[in-house]
Amino acid sequence: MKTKLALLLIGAGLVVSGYLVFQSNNPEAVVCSIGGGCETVLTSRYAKFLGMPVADFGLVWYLISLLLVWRIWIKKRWPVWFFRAWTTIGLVVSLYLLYLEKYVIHAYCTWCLVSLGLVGLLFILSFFTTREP
Amino acid sequence: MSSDGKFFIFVVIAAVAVLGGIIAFGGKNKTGNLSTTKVDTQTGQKLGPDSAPVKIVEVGDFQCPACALAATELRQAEEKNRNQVQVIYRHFPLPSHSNAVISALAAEAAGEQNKFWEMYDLLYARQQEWSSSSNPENIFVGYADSVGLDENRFLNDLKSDRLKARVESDKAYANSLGVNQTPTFYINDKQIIGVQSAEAWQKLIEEAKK
Repeated sequence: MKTKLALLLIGAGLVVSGYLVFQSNNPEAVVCSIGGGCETVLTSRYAKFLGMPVADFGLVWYLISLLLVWRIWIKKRWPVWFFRAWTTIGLVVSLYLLYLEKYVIHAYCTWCLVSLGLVGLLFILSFFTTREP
Repeated sequence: MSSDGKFFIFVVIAAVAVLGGIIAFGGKNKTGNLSTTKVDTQTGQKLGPDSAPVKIVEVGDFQCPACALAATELRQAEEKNRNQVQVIYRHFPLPSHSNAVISALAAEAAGEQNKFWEMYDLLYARQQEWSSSSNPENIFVGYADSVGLDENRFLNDLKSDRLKARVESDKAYANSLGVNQTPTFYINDKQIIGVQSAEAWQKLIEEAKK
C-alpha cells in the first residue's frame, strides 16, 4: 500500500515538474495570471542553477525517486536508507527554494509549492516504511 | 509481475499521458482559434497613426516578465510596419505584482509629457532592476531624467489621482473584456494571449490587413 502511495506521489511529481520544465524552456508559453506568481519565479535569476533550469533538476529528482522505489520496494535490491537520504535532500532543497520565493523573489509559484508538498509527503513516507512494505 | 510492478508501469504511463495532454492543450490555447470581441481602440496610449488599418490593443502589466518578452517582439513588428499598425496600450496591473500599479503610473506620468512609449521601453527593458525594489519611485525618477522629462512634474503626476483613475479605468475595462492574464492582445478585435514572436506578429498583421 505504501509503495502504491509513493508511486502515486511520484507520478504527480513527474507531472508537476514536467509542466514546470515545459514552462521554463518555453518562455513564450509563460503568461502572468491573476493570483499567479510562477512567471516571476520561473523567469527570475534563481530559476537556473549551473546554467540549467531548476525545474529540470526537479524532474530528474522525481525520475530517480521512481528508480529507487523500483529497486527498493519492487525488486527489493537496495536498502531503504537510500530513499530516506534522497527524500531528505529533496526536502532540504525544496525548503531552500521556498525561502528564495518568500524572502528574495517575493513571489510564490503554486506548482513549486505543490511539488514541495509532494516531496514532504514522500519524506514522511520514507521514514514510515521499511524494506518490506 | 507483482501488483506493485504493474502499478509502477501504470503510474509511468499515466504521468506521461497527463503531461503530454497538458502540454498539447496548453499549446493549442495559445495558437488555436482566435476569439473575436469588439474592443475600444479610441482610449489608451497610442503609438502609430489613427488611420492605420491594423489596430493592436495590448493589455499589459509592466511587472509581468512575459509582457516584457512580448513587448520586444511587438515593437519590432510595429517598427517594420510603421503607418500600417497602431498599438494601443491598456493597463492591467496584476495584484500579485507589488510594483505593477506604480510602474503603470510612471508610464502614464511620462505620457503626460508625451514620452509614454519611451518609458514603456525602459520599464520593460529594465524590469529586473525595479520589479522587486521596495522603493521603485527613485528608479523611475532616474528613467524620467534619462528620457528628458521634467522631474518635478513627473513626481507630481506619479501621485496624481487623475492618472490613478485612468489606470483603474483601464483595469476595469480589461475586466469587462474578461481578461485574466497578461499579455493579452487584440488585433483588429481578435484576441491573442501570450508572447508572439516578431515573425508571428508579421503573419497576424498581414492577415489583419486583408
